[in-house]
Amino acid sequence: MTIYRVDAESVIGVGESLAEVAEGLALMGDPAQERWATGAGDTGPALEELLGAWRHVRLALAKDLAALGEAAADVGGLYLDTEAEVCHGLGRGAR
Amino acid sequence: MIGQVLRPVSGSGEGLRRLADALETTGRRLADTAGTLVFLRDRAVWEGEAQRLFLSRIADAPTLLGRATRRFEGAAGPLRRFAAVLEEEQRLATWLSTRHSSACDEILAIENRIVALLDSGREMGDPQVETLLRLQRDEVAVMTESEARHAAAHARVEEADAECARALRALAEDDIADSFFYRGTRTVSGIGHGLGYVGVVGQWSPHARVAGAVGDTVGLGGDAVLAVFYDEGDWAQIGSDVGMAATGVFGDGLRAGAKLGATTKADGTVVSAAMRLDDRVVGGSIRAAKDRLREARDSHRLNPPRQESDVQRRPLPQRPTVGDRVSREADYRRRQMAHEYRLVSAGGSSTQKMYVAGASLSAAVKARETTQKVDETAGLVDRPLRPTTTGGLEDGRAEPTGPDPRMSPGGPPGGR
Repeated sequence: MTIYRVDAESVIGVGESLAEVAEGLALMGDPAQERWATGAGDTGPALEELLGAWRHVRLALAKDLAALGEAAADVGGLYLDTEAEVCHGLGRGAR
Repeated sequence: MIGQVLRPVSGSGEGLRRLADALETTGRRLADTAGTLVFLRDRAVWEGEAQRLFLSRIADAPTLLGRATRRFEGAAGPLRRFAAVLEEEQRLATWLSTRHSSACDEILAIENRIVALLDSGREMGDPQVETLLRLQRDEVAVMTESEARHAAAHARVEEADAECARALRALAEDDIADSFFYRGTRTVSGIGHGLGYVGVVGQWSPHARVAGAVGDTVGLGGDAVLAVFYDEGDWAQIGSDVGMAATGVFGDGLRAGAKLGATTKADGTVVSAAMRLDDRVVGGSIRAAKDRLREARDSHRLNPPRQESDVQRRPLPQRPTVGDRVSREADYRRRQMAHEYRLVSAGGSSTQKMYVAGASLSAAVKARETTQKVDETAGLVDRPLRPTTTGGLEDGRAEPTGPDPRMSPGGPPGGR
C-alpha cells in the first residue's frame, strides 16, 4: 500500500521555485553585452565562452526544471484535491 | 609622438564588479536549486509512485546545476581581480593621457614662440631661444615618459586580462560545454534545434508523428486540427499513460512557445518578436509550467479543505454530464485555438508548424482524458493516471474511511 506524507503547498512552492530558475536559465542574457565592462581583451570572449557556450545543456536544464516544476504542480494539486475530497467525503458521510 | 592621442584603457572596473556580484548571486541560486533537488531526492517530502517518477525526472539536474554553479561562482573571483587592476591602471592611463596631451600642446606652443623669435631676427644660441628649447626638451621628456608609462599601464591591464581569461577558460572546460558539432549546427542553421525538439516528439510516439504530419501536410488551422483529433476517437490506444502525460506537457509547451513574442497591437495586427525556435520551445515549456503552477495555486485558494460544518451546510455541487463537459470544452478549445493560431501566424510557417504539432498533442491528451472520464462514469475502468492505492478516495465512490493523519498540511513528522 502506498503511503503519502504530504505538504502539498510546499510541493507546489518547490515547483514554483524550479520554474523560476528554469525561466532564469532560459532567459539568460547574451554575455556579449558585457563587453563594455570587460574591455577589448580576451576576458570578453572567455566570459562569453563560459556563460554562453553551454547553451544546449542550459536550455535542456531549463526544460527539465520546468517539467519538474509542472510535475510538482500536478502532484501538489493532486494531493490537495485528494485532501479536499477526503474532507468532502467525510462531510457527505455525516449528512 | 606629438599629435598622438594615447588610447584609453577600455572596460569598466565597476561594471566588472557588478557582473561578478550578479554571477555570484546566480551561482548561489543555482546551488540552492541543486540543493533543493538533492533534498527532494534524498529526503523527499512525499513517498510513493509519484515521488519515484518525480525523482527519476530529476535525473542529472543537480549535477548539471552544480557544474553551472561552478562556472558562475568561479568567475566572480577572477573578474574582481581583473577589475581591481583595470580600475587602477585606467585611472593612471587617463591621467597620463591628459599629461601627454598637455605636453604635446606645450611643445607646439614653444615651437611657435621659437619660430617667432627667429623670424624677428634672433639667432640660435640666443639665451631666450635657448631657454625655450630647454623648456621644450622638458616637455618632450614628459611626453615620452607619459607614452612609456601609458604603455606599461596597458601591458599590466593586458596581463591581468589574460590571467582572467585563462581562469575563465579553465572554468569553461567541463562536460556541459556545447560540443563542436552543436556550435557548428547552430551557426549553419538557426532552426535546426527547434525542429530537433519536434523530432523528439515524433520519436516518443508514432501517433504523435502522424499528428505533426497531418498538421504539416494539410495545413489546417488549429481548430480544424483539434476537431480532427477529437473525432478520431481512438486516442485511448495511444501510448502509455505516462507517455501521454509527457507528450501532453510537451504539446502545451509547443503551443505556448509558438505564441511567445507575438503581441497584438492596438490596430489589431499581430507582430512577432524575432526568437529562435529552440528558445520558443523552451520558453513555451516554462510558460506552460508556470501556468499550471498558477492554476494549482489558484485551485488551492479556491478549494481549501472544507471544514465539516461547511460541508454539512452546503449542498454538493452538481457535476455536469459528460456530454455537457465534452461539448463545452470542445467549443472553448476551438475558440481559444482560433485566437492562438492568429497570434502564432505572425511568427511564420515554422512557428505555425510548431503550434499545430503542439495543439495536436494537447488535443490527443484531452481526448484521452475525456475517454477516461466517459469510461469512469460508466464504471468500466479506474483512473490509471491517479494513484488508486489510497483506498479509492479520489472518485468518492469508495467508502470514505477518514483522512489519513499523515496528510497534514504542516508536513510529515520526522522531517521527511
